[in-house]
Amino acid sequence: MLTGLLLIWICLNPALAAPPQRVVSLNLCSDQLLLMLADREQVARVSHLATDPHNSYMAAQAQGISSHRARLEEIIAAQPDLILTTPYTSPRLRHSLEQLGYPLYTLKLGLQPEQIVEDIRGLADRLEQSSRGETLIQEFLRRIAAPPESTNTPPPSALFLQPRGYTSGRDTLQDQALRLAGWRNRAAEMGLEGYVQADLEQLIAWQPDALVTSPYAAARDSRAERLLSHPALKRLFGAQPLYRVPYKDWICPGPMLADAVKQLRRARSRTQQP
Amino acid sequence: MNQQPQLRINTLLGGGLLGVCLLSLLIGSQTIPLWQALQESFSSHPGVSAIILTELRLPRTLVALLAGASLGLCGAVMQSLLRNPLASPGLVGSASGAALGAVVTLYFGLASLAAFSLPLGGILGALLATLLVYLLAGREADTLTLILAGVAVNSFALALVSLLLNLAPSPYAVQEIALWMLGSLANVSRDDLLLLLPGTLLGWLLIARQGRALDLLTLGEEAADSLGVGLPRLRKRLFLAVALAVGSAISVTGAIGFIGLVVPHLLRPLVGYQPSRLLLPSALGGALLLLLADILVRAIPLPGEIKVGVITSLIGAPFFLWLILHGRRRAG
Repeated sequence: MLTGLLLIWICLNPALAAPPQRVVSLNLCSDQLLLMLADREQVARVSHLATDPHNSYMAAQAQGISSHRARLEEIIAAQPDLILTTPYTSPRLRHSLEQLGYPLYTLKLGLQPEQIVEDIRGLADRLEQSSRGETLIQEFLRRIAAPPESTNTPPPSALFLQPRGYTSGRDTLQDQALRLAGWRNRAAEMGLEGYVQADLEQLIAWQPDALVTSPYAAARDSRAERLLSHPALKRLFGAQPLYRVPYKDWICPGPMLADAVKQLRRARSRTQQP
Repeated sequence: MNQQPQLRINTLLGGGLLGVCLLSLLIGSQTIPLWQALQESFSSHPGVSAIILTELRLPRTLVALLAGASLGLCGAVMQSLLRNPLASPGLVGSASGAALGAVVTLYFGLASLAAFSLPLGGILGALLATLLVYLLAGREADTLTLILAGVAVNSFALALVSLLLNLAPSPYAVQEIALWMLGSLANVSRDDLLLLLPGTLLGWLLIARQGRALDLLTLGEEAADSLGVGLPRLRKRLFLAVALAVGSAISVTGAIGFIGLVVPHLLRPLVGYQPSRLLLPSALGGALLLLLADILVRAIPLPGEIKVGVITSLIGAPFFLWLILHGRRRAG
């Protein structure tokens, strides 16, 4: 009787069930964490962006794994025993998956280092890869820990500048990485929040010490991309250094943020204070 | 009709335009000391204000001026040439054709090969679309046929613009659909001004001194022909002129609606319904209207600028309606 109850309890408690063997990830950010934490055999499908070397930090590892474009049929066809979702998953898709009874695991994708650690640990436990998760977390925390000499000089200011005049204010991964690397984010200081389009006149008036940009892909032509070569920007920011950080390092919260921080620290040590 | 009221209208519009130009240099998200910025811009190390003035506001003002003038002027020319009050770059396909041509060259790598391929694409697109409408509707087309042909070519061209932007390799292309459909002057630079200038001036030059021929055309095609107007040549010349001016403007600003329709209409009664006298006021009026609309766009405090074509259409569409109702009442 007691063993019977125990058996039922074991079956109903997902944490004690066998580790998931066919995991489908719906989003580039969950793709990358999944590929870092899971055994390759555990991964059934990742999103089509996971193999794109400009956007995905784990592009090489994603090669050969079948991919999907977030269509319900493709997801079901993979016969998943766990589906990774994010707060940005389309509510309609999530609702359908819930109705069909698939087990979902939602990453929080918070931007603070503690929240990144929390996501890694949570997913690692769910995949029953806890020790791999802890190694990843220790490595991440060690790499982003501020080096002692960085407190000596006042932080210089940087502006993240993207095509169409987009920039990152408060509550963005770019803001987080800039501050971890000892920069001030000019857009956040001026009160911007999130990834927003800033007026060119504003951007020019802000006068940052350096510019940071993340080319999306190989340079293509569009109005948006032409904005970056606007004569006004060239004349005013011509003397300032422009640093390029690959987008794959800070498009998603995860251990790769340490790579972005490392590059920004190196950039900082090369930037002259005015 | 004597020259006096004609002169008065032109002076009035010109004066207004001058004032609005000054206003356009003053208005933006940053407040800059204009006089100081002006002095600074002549020094060897211009400051932020000087650069905002000379690299952002000045090119934007001049592009609005030239594009608006082209649209107004070409509206007047087309209405006179086709002897149809509804002909305008927006309605007979030149504008959407130009947008299509520009989109093809910009997003598929041709514009980065040679800078002038962008306006060239616009000019070619405008020419093809206009000719297509003209051939579809036939010479001496009645208003209805012309409008129907225009609607067909317009929607086809804009559908292609949308499709091509979806297929374009740039990840930003899809977000720029609104720009091409509605038009925008945001962040134009002096490079854009230089792209727009040659075609615009050439187009204007071709139109200059054709006023008399257009006047004679009001008597009917045969009468004009007997009075020495070489109609096929005139038609070719003016179609080319419209394509040059409108194509150049739109490949920089996107398809801006209604200016070419509304401005000549408003001014026609004031110049005694004489095509030759309508040309200059239409150009001035078009520039004035586009510049005012663009100032409004900048002055409205919204996150992310609204497109200037939204304003011109918001003004233009009700006017168009009024035109229809007014015409019906007069006829009835």
